[in-house]
Amino acid sequence: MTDEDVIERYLDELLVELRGSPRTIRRVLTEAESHLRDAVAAGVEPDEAVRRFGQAHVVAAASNRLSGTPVSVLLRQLLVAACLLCAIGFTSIGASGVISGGMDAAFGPRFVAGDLPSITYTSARCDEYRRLAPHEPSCRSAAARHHTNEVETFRVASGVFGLAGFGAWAFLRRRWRATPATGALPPALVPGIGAAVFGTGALTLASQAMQSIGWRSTAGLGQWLSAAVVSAVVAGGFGVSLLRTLRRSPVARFD
Amino acid sequence: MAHGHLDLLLLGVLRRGGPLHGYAVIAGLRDASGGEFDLPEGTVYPALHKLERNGFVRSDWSIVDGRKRRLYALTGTGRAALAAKKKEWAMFRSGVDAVLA
Repeated sequence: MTDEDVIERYLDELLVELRGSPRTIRRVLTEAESHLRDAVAAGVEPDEAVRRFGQAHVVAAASNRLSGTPVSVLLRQLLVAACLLCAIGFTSIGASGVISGGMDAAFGPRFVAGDLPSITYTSARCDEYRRLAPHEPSCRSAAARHHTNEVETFRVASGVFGLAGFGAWAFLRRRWRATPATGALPPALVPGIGAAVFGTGALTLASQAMQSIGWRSTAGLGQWLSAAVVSAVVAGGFGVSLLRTLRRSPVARFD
Repeated sequence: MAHGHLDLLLLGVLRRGGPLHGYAVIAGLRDASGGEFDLPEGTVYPALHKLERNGFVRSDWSIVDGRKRRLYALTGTGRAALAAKKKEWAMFRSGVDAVLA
């Protein structure tokens, strides 16, 4: 390894360990490089100059303590990130409600939220369903209509709530705008959480749908299927965003 | 030991030497102490940054010997802080001397 390599490798290690604003990091690196080259110019061996300067993680820790992100800034940025995730989550539920409505129109309410054939109703419960869905010919179809209406209505209402969440997110983001110099959260945080949460949700909902198929009945399949499809699509979107974010990470640890 | 009084030592070196870049501050500290204070050099820079943040020193980029360097100099506040810290140190030292005598 050449003298140049020893200093360059040390500066690389220091860069990876440093936290704080780009300006602070550039300043620390410039001073470190200037110091090491001064030492070498004064006749100190590069290895010895690096040893005297201190281990990269020790020097970085001392610098990082000074440039730590204030808790208030961290909490604000966490709130903005949480707002975005909640808005996407509730809007996704709304989208699954719209898809459920499409399935209702195409395959009927039994497919969306009908009860399994093994479910029986008391006469009081049956009367209640018939009162809520008077045009349905049977107690079972009235129950399916009632459940389907609930699925569609509650999910679409969640979607409206989610759209309002996007508005709140846009407002907060503009109010507490984070620049590359003030961004305290890793850029991959939101897409990482989103991919994990929606991916898990998609798998869970898909397994629920498969369970319905396993019972040799399509009754109620639509409510799980619609949610699983939306979750899978959103998880895929977050996954692509995560990959893009990781690929354009400013510091690559390996050449 | 030196770490506990690093602020005082750095202010003292800057008072002696005027505007100095980091390498010269560290070399000045080592020379003035007869090699007694040989700190991990990289940790001196964050200490200088902290002094600057507290208004005790100011710094500016400058090109010296063809290389970009940050030159540090004492401020008026830094001089006052140095005088106060020197007084504290003198009291501490006389107290310790009295106990050990």
